[in-house]
Amino acid sequence: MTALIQLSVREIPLRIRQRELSATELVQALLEWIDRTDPTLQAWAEIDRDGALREAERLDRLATRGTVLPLHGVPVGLKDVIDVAGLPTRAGFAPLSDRPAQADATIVARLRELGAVVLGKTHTTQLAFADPAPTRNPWNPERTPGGSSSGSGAAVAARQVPLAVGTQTAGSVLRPAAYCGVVGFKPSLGWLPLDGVIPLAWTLDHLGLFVRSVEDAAYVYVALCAHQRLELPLLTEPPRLLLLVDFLELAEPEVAEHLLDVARRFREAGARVEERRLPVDVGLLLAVHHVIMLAEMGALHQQMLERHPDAYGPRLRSAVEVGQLIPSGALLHARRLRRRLGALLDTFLAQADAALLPTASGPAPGRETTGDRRFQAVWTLLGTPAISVPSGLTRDGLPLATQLVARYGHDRHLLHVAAWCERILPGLPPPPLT
Amino acid sequence: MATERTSDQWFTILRTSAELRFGSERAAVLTDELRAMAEAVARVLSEPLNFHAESPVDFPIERVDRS
Repeated sequence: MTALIQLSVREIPLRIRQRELSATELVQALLEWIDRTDPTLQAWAEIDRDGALREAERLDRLATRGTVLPLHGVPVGLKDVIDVAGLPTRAGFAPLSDRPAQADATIVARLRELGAVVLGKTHTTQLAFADPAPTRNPWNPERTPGGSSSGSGAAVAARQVPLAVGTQTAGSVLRPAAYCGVVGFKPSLGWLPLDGVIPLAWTLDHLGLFVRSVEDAAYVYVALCAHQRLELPLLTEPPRLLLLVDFLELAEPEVAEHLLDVARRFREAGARVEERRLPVDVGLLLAVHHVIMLAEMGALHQQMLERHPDAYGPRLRSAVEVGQLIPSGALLHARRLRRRLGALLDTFLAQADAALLPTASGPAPGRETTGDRRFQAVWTLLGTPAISVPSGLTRDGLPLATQLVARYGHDRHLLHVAAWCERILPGLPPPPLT
Repeated sequence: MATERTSDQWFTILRTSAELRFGSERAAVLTDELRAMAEAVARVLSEPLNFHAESPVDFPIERVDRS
């Protein structure tokens, strides 16, 4: 079983094609592993045991007839804000109750068309905001796995599933990926479809992927965006990177020191790494993000909050209430600035292959919080693609991660750069909880 | 300094709005969030808009041509 739970996304259809593996055998192994590890980890809100096994058997019959799809037999976990037909989308919010979704979200339908097997729903913070989910961090159960895609990050790290999907409105894909020691990839805004996904702030919401390597991120992303072709590696020379000093100054000392060491490794491998400041104040970017996010949350939840005020977690309720008080002039001003800042940052990012910064200001903090969203929210605001790559461990044995960001729409190029960087970085061992 | 004064003013406005809308008990619970929002609003409004140099037409961010 140990070998099966370690399989990468890319290996699974290859092995099925070579008849070294069946989808049923893999699903059974992962379900058994989840049974052993999830009472402690609590990554899953719902497991669709029967549905997953039925689908795996169907895919095995298909493979016997010679058809192997790009994600054939790849088990996937979906954050519990994403609709899966026949399963409830609870989002950690009691009023949504147990009514099953009538149809798959578009992303789920696409994953199924590609041969993925839906294993179940992973825990989210309540409605993808900031009240912590029950999930533990597989590197230290007293630390947060991050949020809001808490279960997705933890499940991939703990080898319960090789692929999970989450959402990010501030930092909810990249931060849990960083805290859990896996790769998190947030494509450009609008590039993965959000139909059938419970919104939090509709002009900021993104879908994102959790996997254990950049190669897997690229493989899944290209499969999902079939119109694109991507072969790794394509960089003809080591990348040019902009090391963002603004974030080094905001980071905890151990994180800043780590990123400088990462930059040194990249330079030694031939990359051009230049220390640069953003052309705009990080505080302004975060202020614009905060105003837009809470205003949209306030509008979205207005009726639900009136009907079910006591069902809301304290952080979500406060944010929604404050969001309802924001003057329209401030929101419109923020939206105009978002556009200006996007253009400024696009010109800035065009000077290099990618920007380089820590994914988070520190390693995973305690479970009372889901962590600091500042280092990820800037890029969510601008809709640029961003990827988090595990890059080391703290002295206490918690994962550290490096974030790479590219211009809007340059997702393919970012994946190439990240693949180059990943080869230079030391890989992480499996977390202790496994 | 000007931003700090504006932030205090915005806090007063938001706090008063919260009391009227949600009652004084909830407004007290919201104090930290209100202060954070007051700072954000003040920071946002401290940046002047320029409708002459920047097109008044808003596109969704994903449709802005940045080539």
